Amino acid sequence: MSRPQVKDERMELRIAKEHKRLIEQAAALVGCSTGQFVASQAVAGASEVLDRERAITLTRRHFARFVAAVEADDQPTPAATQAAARFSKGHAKGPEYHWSSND
Amino acid sequence: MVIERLSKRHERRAFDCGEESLNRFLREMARQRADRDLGIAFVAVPEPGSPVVVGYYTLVTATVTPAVVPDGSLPGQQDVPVIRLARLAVDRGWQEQGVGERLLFHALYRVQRVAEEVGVYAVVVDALHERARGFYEKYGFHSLGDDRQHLYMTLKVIRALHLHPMRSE
Repeated sequence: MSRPQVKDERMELRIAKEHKRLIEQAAALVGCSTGQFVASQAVAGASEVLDRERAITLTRRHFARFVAAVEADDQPTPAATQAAARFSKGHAKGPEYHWSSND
Repeated sequence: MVIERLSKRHERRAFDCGEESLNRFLREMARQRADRDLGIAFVAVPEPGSPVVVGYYTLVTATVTPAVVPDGSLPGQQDVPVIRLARLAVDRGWQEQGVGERLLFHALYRVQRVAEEVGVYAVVVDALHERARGFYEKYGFHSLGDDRQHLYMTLKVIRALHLHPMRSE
């Protein structure tokens, strides 16, 4: 689901002197560079904002297509059926789901 | 391997899926957000009681809505409730072993159970990049057509999968 991260983009920004000092202190405290600190905090903030954005807006055409697809009798793909069978071979112990990799 | 609710016992700092935003989310936000009932997080661990996090996913509620047009909305074209599989990640050391698939189908199974109690129209996932997109498409997810790369699977299709893990104890 993921790939190694290539950091080949640059971002520059202007901030107040006292804010920069604050960031430097915080970065030193957690033991990373100010650049790393700013980037990681901004990424975390951005991902929370997007997470909070609960409404997915579609054009009316795409929305109509989505509704039609939900009403239609679509069937699972063979890959999904096989994966579902593998999943159902695992077992539930209370709220926990167990499986072994040789299933 | 076990999938269970994220708890204090899980060691989240060592987790590395290769995508920093997903690592950070698990490290710094997942627990706090679950405590505040903002999102549910499930983790895969190698065996019962293990603190090692092999992978995780989160579920949140969302709506899919048609863009507003000046003449107002047409009947039957209102917002629909969906569940969003907001994040799904597997640690680098455990990739290509079917963990992502198990987490995905565990999430679909949980959605199917939720849909017995409240209205859920479909499951929507965010595909961060092309590889993730291929992963979901293989299992029959279709594109919503928006620019955020969302994909969906309908409840009808999920029910047709008959997801029922065996009971024990």
